[in-house]
Amino acid sequence: MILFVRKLVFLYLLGSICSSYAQPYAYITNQGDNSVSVINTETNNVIKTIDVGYRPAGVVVSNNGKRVYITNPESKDISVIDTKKFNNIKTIKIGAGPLAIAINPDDRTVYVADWYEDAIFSIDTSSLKIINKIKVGDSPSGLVIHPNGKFLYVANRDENTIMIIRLSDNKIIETIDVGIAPFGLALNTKRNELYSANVRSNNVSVINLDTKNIKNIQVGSYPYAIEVDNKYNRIFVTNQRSGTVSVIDLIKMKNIDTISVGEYPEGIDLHPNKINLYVANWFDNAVSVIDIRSMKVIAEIAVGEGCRAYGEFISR
Amino acid sequence: MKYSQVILISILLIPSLVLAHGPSRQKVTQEIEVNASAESIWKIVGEFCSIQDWHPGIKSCTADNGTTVKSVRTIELENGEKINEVLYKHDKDNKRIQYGMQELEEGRVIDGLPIATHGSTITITESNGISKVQWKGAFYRSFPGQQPPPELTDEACIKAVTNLYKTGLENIKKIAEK
Repeated sequence: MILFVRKLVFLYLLGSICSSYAQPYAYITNQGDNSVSVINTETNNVIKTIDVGYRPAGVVVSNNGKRVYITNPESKDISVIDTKKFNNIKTIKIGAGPLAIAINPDDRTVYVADWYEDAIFSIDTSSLKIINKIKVGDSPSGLVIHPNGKFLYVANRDENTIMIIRLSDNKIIETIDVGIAPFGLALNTKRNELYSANVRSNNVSVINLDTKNIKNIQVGSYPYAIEVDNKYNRIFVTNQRSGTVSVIDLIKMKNIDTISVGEYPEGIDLHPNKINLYVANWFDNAVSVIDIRSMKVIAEIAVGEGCRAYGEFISR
Repeated sequence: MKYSQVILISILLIPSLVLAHGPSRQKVTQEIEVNASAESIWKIVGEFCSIQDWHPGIKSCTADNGTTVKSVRTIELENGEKINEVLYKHDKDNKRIQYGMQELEEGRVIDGLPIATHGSTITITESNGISKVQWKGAFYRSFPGQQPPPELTDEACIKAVTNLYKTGLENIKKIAEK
């Protein structure tokens, strides 16, 4: 009997530990409100609003779901959020204009692209201190990390290039020319391709990472960020000025659908269920949820002023 | 009061001590209620270059392809500054015009309107005989660095764009209700 009770208690504890992180949450940066809205993706409700630094933009959730890191370009710092209580536990001063942010698959290092210093900072997540700085190209805007943790890809907006950094020695091993003003990046390990959203040439560069060949695909106006749907070989691209999401078929290599969302869509992230796509509409202060089976918007969630959610904002 | 004067005064009113701001996009929305049908307001604003007739701050306008999408208009402000704008959408049914500023030459700052990119939408809606004209836009300041002088801050840009929209909307109302 005692054993049985112990077992129950154990199961209960296990259950409660899991449930505090299991629910995927979407963390939406609100540029105008200096806050982050936390959306419970089960109910699509905002369950909490967390104060962060000044004019928050970038976001990344740790792979274990325990922390969220937010870039605040105008207060020049990073807000660290603990997801147990959804509170801001630390502010890390950094550079001159932190924007894009990514985390290593082992959750030990966070990388931050600094728009003004033309550099990538590394932050150790246990000490929460800056441990390294790598000089890159002009106005680094997009960051993505390989799931093997070995390579970091950087989009340099004002010199129209992508750089590949080898993380074992933090060396730039390759610089690739893409379209004009590359901003958001996404990686597709299944196809070994990298994608850049080129704001000023209104296209997406598809980079074959084996051959380094590039193909450009036309999308809407002022494309911003990209999400990959591995299962169906598609990518989704937010087009800021068109107020749409372009759907690109990677087999046909063309734009096969355009989904109307709110105005100035920016951050885009696929829910772990691989069905619901979340898009933050900056002008509308709302997040659109798209069902990628029907390609229809199935929900709109009101969040804070000027939502951006630039990065991987849904916990896995 | 002339539009350029409004801007000049609003710039002078901004305190010189402002926080250092980075390159965040800003937005402005202005609306006005007009006692006229949406149809009659559309007749006033529907043409891409009609802005020279209904906006007191715009001296002249020429468009290279009328109301066809991708038509480029050049507007001239009271102070002589010229701006090129591209037509994105011209939606007669929903009475909506969407356009955006063309990329400025490197380093250019428009006197009185220190913004670098500008996407803008004018929409007319009607309900119970009263129309609403909404003008909204998103833009970045043209000053690229971190410490803009007071006349080039985000706040100065918001003020200038707000004035641009407000002056235009007030005159649309005046013309439509005449």
